[in-house]
Amino acid sequence: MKKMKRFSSLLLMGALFIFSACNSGGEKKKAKKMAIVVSTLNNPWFVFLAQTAEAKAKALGYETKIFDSQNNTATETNNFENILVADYCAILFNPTDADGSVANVKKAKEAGVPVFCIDREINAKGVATSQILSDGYSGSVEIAKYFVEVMNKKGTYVELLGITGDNNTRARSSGFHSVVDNYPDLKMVAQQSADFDRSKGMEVMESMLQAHPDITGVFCGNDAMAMGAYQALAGAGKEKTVKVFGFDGADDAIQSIKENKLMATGMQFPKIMAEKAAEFADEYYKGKRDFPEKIPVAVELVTAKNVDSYMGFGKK
Amino acid sequence: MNRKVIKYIVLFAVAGLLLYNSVYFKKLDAKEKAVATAVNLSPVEIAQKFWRDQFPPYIDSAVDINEFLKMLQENPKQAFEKYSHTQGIGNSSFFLLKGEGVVSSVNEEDVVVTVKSGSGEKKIKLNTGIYFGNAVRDVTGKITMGDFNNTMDYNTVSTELNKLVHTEIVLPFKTKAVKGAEVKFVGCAEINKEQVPTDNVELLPVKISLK
Repeated sequence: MKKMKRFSSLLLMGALFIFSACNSGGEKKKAKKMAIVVSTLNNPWFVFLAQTAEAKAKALGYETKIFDSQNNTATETNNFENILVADYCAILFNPTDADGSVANVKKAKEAGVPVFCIDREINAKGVATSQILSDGYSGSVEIAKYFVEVMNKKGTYVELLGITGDNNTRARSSGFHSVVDNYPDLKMVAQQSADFDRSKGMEVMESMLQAHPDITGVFCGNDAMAMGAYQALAGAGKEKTVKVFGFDGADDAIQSIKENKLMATGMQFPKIMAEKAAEFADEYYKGKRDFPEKIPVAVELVTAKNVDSYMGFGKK
Repeated sequence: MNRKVIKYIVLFAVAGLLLYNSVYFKKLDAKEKAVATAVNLSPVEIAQKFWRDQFPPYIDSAVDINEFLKMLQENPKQAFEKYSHTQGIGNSSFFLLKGEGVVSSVNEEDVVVTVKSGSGEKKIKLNTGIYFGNAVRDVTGKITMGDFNNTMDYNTVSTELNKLVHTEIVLPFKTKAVKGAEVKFVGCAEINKEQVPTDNVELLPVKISLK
């Protein structure tokens, strides 16, 4: 009888243990490891984004590893597959493609690994745990207002677009045109993608200059392309007559504005975004589950007037 | 007897645990939000619905511009906390303000209204040019980026709201505004926390009546 009672007590304790484990929603505590998946490491802006996220995660006590998707969704998928079998507790994610990256985030969610998007968006709700996004549209609106002012509301110009399929490309271009298209004497004579790449920016600008030698302005979807475009203009001896506008707030762009080479850029804040993503992931690990679906991070206009308040990738 | 008490305590604990694991609580507001955004409207339709149905009550609750400017001078932090909405992370905040005064000048891109303020007066600039910001979308805090699958739709809502304001409020006002006219106005202001104006603000009018 005594044995029977002891057995019952043990049984009850076992049940208690099992149900306590179930209380966490079936989530197994993962290792304190964060994966940082970045669209490319072939651009200093994204290198800074990845390294900042890594530094913050390490400061919060996590092991980290950076994965480079090389602007390729297939590589990104491989990265996710490797991450999901390696017991990471969170993914800090800079997507390659707004639509193409959704499936990878869904897989992570199904595997119980939270994903925090940084800078670039995925076109889905309720999949990523939170998305911390640069407000590129509003930033481009500010650049466009300055563009109109500097161009004195007239002239011909060209536009260098980023990667097709990336929401940032669309947002920056749309924001810019939402302003500039209201001025009929400002005419865009060519628009072409240079994939956010400096060398391609230079090549595209060289070919555009041959077809349109009389342009007076260039709007580029990022600073790398703007630097490439400026190089092409300098090679053609047109750097004083054609005004170049970038976007990002990269180190060399800030320096170029100081030297009166570039006219303006939109300062994004990769440090704020990367650190916020790491903080959110840490809070998730500690049990928090209620995160905002998407958070816009403001972009600020940097010109020769206020450039001294800024440094590469942020404010002084 | 003691054993019996222990037995009941353990049984009670197990029953409680079973119940706890059988019932889940979810916040109602999350569901309400999902229902609200599940309505299959285009960004243009969302902007129109917001402008016609949801925005007017906010116009009625606009803050008196003199009261606001006084607080902005004396305690800017409190003015931002009490009266503004901010979207996400950034320095820009949005305010909905009302006042009345006399038109002192009509310019290409704005109309300046002189508003009595205590024993003095203030010049308030009403923007009548093309407006490109997000003040109307963001001033109530009711439309957020998280409501949309992609940010382009979120931005389109802002562009459409600006068009509605320009067509329905700004253009009629611009054609009728003359120097000396008495005017009552409600407008949206965007103020940067790092560049707080000392005694003036520029407004995008969202309601105007001329005497």
